[in-house]
Amino acid sequence: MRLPLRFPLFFFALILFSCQNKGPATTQTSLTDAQKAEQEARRQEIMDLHNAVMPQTAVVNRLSRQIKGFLQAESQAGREDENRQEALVEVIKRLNEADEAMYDWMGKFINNLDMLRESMDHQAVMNYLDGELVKIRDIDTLTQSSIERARAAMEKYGINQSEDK
Amino acid sequence: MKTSIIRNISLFISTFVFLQACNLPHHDPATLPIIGNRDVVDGDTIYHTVPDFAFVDQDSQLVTNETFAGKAYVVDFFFTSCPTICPKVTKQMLRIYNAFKDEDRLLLLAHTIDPKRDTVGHLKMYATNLGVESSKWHFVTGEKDDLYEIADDYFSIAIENPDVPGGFDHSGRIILVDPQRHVRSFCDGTDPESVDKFMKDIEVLLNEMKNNASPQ
Repeated sequence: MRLPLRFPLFFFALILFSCQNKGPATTQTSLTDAQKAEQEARRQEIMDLHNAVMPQTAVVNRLSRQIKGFLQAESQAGREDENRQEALVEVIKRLNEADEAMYDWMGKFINNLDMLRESMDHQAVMNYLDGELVKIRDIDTLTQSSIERARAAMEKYGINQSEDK
Repeated sequence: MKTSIIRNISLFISTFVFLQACNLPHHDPATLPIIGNRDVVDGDTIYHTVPDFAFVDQDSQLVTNETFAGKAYVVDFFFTSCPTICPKVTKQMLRIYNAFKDEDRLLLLAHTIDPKRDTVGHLKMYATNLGVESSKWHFVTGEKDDLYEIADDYFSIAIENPDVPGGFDHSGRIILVDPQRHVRSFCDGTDPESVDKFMKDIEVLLNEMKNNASPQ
């Protein structure tokens, strides 16, 4: 006898809860032109940096392949050196981390401002974009440092570098 | 007398211009050049050819050089989460797909360079959203190093400016390969006008294949 009373109450509560959670905190129409321009400028800043760093991922992979090829050739020739092997494996690991960081970031980054505005007010959108700018700057640093470290190691161990095919 | 001299001079100039024109190096519009490095071995010219490859497409089917036997194909490199260049290039690839949809002698081959995220299932969804046939447009994945290595091979012959380091994944280039695995044309896949010219090159190659006149 008590069940039939509980179900309507539950659905009523559910409807009320849904209505309270419906809709963004601030809609796109409430943004001023200046706010929209500020968001777009920050988004573009992120994309410009991304476009500058992205071509380097091809260099990262190429260096990694060259070192792997060297290690394989040395192994086949019976010229294994434990210290050198350890150092070069660490270099490859750093290159892979930089590469993975870029692709992981791209897989998660929301590039569509309209999508962000559906669920965030202006300040929240700016906070999100500022956070993403920090991330892509970190990826830039990681990428450049992994490339420099790889080049130094390749020079040290006499590994041929042919990056500009 | 004066008229006769002028006539003779005109005739001489016309003959000279005609002979010079005959001596000018020219490109036969009925064929496309073979692009890339070439070696001469025992008097024979050896052209660059696309190496062997084996990848898996959106239907989990193995895609190799044999998939394209007797056909020309259009190549690009992309990844589904690419926020800038790739969507523009895919839009142009879709134009090529639609223009040559019923042409059995031409296929499309798109390689992901992010195999970790672009799984077979993800590529299937991407192809389905584009509304394209798997048998016509293969979206392939594989080992990351293998994908990058073949990209280096394709683009080593297509990079106009050797001072630009790497960066094929953001070059947006689209490449045309003939049935003999030679690269015959390429374009900037982000530029519709460049793709217009590229599509004319595809027609030239198809016509060449029809006439069985591939320059070897």
